[in-house]
Formats: sequence, structure tokens, C-alpha cells
Amino acid sequence: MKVIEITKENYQKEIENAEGKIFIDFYADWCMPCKRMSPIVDQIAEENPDVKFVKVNIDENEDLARTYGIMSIPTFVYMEDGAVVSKKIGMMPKEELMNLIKK
Amino acid sequence: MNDVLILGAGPAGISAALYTKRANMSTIVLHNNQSNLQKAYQIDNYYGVGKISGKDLYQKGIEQAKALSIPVFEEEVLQITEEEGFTVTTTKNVYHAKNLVLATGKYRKLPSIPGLKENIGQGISLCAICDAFFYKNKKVAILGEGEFLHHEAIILQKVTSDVTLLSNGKEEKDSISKKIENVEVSSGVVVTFEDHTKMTFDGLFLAYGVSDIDTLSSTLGIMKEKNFIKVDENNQTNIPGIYACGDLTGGTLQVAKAVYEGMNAALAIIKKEGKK
Repeated sequence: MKVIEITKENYQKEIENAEGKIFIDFYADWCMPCKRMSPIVDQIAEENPDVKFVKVNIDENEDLARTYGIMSIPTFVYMEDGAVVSKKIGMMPKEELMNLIKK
Repeated sequence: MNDVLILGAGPAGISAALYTKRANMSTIVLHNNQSNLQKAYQIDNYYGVGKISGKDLYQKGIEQAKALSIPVFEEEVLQITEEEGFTVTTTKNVYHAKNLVLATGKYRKLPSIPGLKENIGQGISLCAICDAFFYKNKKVAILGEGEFLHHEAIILQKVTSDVTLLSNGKEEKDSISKKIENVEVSSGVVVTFEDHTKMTFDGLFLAYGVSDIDTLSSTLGIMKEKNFIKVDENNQTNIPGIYACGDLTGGTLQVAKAVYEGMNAALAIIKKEGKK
């Protein structure tokens, strides 16, 4: 499944009021590690169609970044039915990032 | 724009330089004169050299490079960025190169203060440029040493006026030099000094130099594997144009392995750039 870009218009529908499994990628355009991790996130999204993948540009969504306590990027947050289950920060190989959504 | 910029003047860095220079590639070596090799009292098992001290072997390598007119400069690297090649800013100069070889060894600069490494990303950051965004008008501290400490302070002062410098027992200009006992993250970052006094900050930045593996990962997005830089069979990292060799890539931490990897990276660069 394709990764959805979050905006002020869609974040309520895609994150706040959403149910099920959601993987959030907090990033910025000027963040080099974020750029490196982006294709890895895309691959994991393709391989896990039962999880919704979204990405949040922190420059454009400062309030959302603050709500989730983001203090460094990239930060990856995994949620199930509206609750944060786990979080990972920084650069890591695909296998390690996959652990975020594995039971 | 240089063909190759090499960070580190130990066996891996100099070995790479010898090969790229002899393939007529413009090559510069930068180092901070803190190679682990210099700490080896006596080396008996390196081929062709006999008994030699680590310090002497290190110097021989640098002399060999200089004999080939390879510039070898002792300069502290402050920042590495990527944009049409790589730009390396030091305390004295700015260098540009198409290829970067990281050969800075396993010198672990981050102090082993309880609570520090465990909380990276949760209030503790390795990169001011990356994370200053999250600390606008907040109270921050930078723990580090050397020019790099002040370089990171300048970056943070652009987002907040409340910046405290800490140097954990070392004398640094404008800094609190008291030794730190531990760091905790709870309602902020609480730094406890050895005299049991405490200071609380919204964030703590570590400034011990760019060549620390975790810092390279945070700033450039270099992939690590456990505590080493991950490389392919050409000693290339996940970033095209950046190579890593020697102790940085782990495995057998020996001169012979470092020399091989320096050569391996150089040959890969030579082939890629179409040189012979």
C-alpha cells in the first residue's frame, strides 16, 4: 500500500479518528537520515497491506509532532486502534524497523 | 572539487590515499592525530616491518603519503554535508569531494555517563542541525569538548538564547566544567554532577565530534550494524560515494585488515570514476 502524506486537512481522518494498525513516519525534507529511511518505509508498506502507512512532515505539522512527543527525526510510531504501541528513532536496517509492527 | 577526501590518517586512510593518488585522483587526508594505532606499545605481527611502536608505524604511514605529495592535514572536522558531492568543514577550511572515505577508527569519544546513550532521541541528541527544530526557545545544554562544542552551540543559539555548555571535567571556554555523575530523562533532562547538584534542561546535545559512529548515523544517515558502520564488498556504505574502512567497520581490529580495506575502497572508487 502507498504511504499517505498527512496534511492539516486529512490528519483527523487518517490518524486521530482512525482505527486499526497505523505506522507513522515523522520526517523533514532537510533530514538526511529521513531520506535514507524513506525507501525502506515504502518497501515495508508494500509488504504489509494490513497496516496503514502515513508520513508527517514536521515543518508543516508542528502541532502533531508535539502531540506525539517527537524530539528527534526520523521517529517511527506504531499505533493500534488509537493507542501508541511502540516507537523507534533514527537509522536502522529494514529488519529492525519491521519489529515495530511485528507482534 | 577533489576526487577523494579521506578522514583518518591511520593504516586504512593512508592505504586508500596511496592507491587513489597513484591513480592520479586528487586526494586529501584529514586527521585529528588521535589514532588508536598510536596507543599500541609494540607491534610484532605486521608484515615487512618487524618490531615497531604504533606511534612510529602511524608516522611512517603519514610520511609515505607526503612523499607522494598527498596533503595530510591535522584539522578538526566540524560538519559533513552532502549536496552534489560532499562538503567537509573543519576548524580551518572547507573541502569538497566527490567521494568520502571514512577511516577514523574506533576511538569512542562519548563519555560513559549513565543515562546518556540510553536516552538518545528522547531528549538527548547527537546532532544540533538535525534536532534544534524541537528546542525553539527552550532551555538546552551541550555536553562536549573542543571546537565542535562551540560549533554546535552556535547552531543552537539560532533557535534559543538559553544554551548552557558542559564539559564534564575538561576546561573549555564559557562552560561548566564540573564532572557529571549521571543523566536522567524525566520531565526534562536532569543532569546530576559529582557534587550532587542538579540542573534540568529541555534537551541535552552531545558534541564530541562528527566521526563518532552514532553521530555519523544521525547527521548523514549512515547505516550502522550493531556498533560498526555497515559496508558492502567494496567497503561502500549505504550512501553512494561514502566508503568506510578499518576499525570503523568492525571485524578483526588489526592493521592488516585496515590496510586491505583502505585499498579495497580505493580500488572501488578508481573503478567507479573510470581511472586506472
